[in-house]
Amino acid sequence: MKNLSPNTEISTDEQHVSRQEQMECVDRLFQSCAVPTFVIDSLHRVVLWNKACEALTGVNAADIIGSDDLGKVFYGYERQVLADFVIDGNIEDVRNNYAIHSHSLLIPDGLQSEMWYTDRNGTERYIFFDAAPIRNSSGETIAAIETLQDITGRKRAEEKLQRTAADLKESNDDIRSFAYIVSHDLRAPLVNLKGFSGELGMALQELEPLFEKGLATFEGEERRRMEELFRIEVPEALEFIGSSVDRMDRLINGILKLSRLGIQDLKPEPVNTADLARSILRYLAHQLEERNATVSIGALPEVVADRTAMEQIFGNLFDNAVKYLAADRPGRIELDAETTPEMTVFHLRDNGRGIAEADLERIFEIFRRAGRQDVPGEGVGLAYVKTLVRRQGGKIWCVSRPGEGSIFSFSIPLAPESKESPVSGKTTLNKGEQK
Amino acid sequence: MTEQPKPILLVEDDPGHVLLIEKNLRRACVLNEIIKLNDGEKAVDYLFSEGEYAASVNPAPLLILLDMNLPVLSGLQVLERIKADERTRRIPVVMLTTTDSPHEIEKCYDLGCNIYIVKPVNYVKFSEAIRNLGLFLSTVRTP
Repeated sequence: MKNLSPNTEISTDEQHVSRQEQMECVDRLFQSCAVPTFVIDSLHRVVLWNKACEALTGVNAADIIGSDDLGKVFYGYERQVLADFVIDGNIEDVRNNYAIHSHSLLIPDGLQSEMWYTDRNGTERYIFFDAAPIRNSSGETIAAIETLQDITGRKRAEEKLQRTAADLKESNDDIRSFAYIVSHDLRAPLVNLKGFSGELGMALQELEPLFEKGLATFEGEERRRMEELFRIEVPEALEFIGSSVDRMDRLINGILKLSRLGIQDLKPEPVNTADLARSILRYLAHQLEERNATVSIGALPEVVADRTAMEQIFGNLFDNAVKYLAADRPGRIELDAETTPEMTVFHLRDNGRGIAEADLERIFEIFRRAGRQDVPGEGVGLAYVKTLVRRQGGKIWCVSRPGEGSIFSFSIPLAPESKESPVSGKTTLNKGEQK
Repeated sequence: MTEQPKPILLVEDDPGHVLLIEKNLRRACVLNEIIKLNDGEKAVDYLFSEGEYAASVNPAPLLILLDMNLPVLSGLQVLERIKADERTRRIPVVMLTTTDSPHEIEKCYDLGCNIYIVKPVNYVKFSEAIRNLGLFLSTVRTP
């Protein structure tokens, strides 16, 4: 096979024959290429149109060679194709004609674009196409080559993914604003419940001397019943209302706090987790002493994470570990970490009371508390921790044996993931003009 | 002739809260007339003699107790109007709300509210907050 390089020296005698051979060779190469490809010359006339191009467009090479009206083929009306812009050298003008467009990442002065195209059978196809100049030895553009690739499948999948992501974001936003509104609006009637039960209590106090006086006029069963109502049943009812309202208030505050976690901005920064863990332990020193517990901290790495979030995560986990230590043995709590290429995983082990297997799934849900309910709490701590870990791109899980202890593990990615993942990595010349 | 004490404007849409606030103000010996309005627009109309109050000239209140979540115009919108207007910007405004969201508190102070009270469900604290307000009012009234 003859060398195709334009720099090859060809003697005048052989010129005609070799050029013929070269053209045939190019044509064979071109025809066997699986990517639909065509070439136009400097007068915008189609000079090459390969088999794959015939298959994609349903237009035979014989019918299109020599035509300078490719717009009709692709769009059904006169319109410049990408290769036309390359020929004219006005590649900046492409922005007025193609909503999505960019410079080729591979070929200098090449262009790429993508759009929906209806083929002859009426089938909608999404085509990625690029065009690049073909230059002679002195650098003049003498032709342009354009390839077309049917990426309908990819496009549909991408659209589906985008729709799913948008749906997900919307329902997340809904949940957040729902939690926020519910917490807001539910507290207003609580203020009344608590307020007016207080008013009733005060009214009873004020009534007391009058009641005392009035009571003297009653006797026997009536008197006993009145006293019972006034001194026992009514105050008891008020007390139940009061304590239930308090509990409701705590639950609502739990939802509110959780919903705020979902919207607060996280600022990733280098955090020395060893220092952080030690400062948390200082707060827990008293409780640790009370429970006769020892804590050992292994080698802990620096992570890039939100400092406050990390404080809350470690704080809640340590707090739980201490709270649920077993009463019958000295407490032992250990914190260590391992680092993989993608993430840091922290493990907090305790020899506490442990969690039954059936409860392991639920402990991270809000308001769910496992085991004996002998330690005060609202069941929100682990829900916060889970939210905070998840928002930083990590995961949390727990392994436990009832009566022996638990290991709470959570991961923090080494590179904090960006919150909004880019939809497309393509650079466009002008974003404002995208349809 | 003694000057009529200025009224207190209470803008609150929950009738229960209105009653509780009033009871506690009275308990704290605040005797000023309490003008009760149940939406934000009425508050603006009252203060600036607009809308249904266009015909009347209302005495400037001593103090405005303003709920955050109000119909028609929100508490923040009303606060913004009050603090932006030369006629009303010196009237002390107490924002009442059910949330202690730092973001909302900040917004209130940015807009110039004087005190921010989270309506506590704890009745004792609630009374105290209102009573302290009463105390503050009596101090203001003392010549």
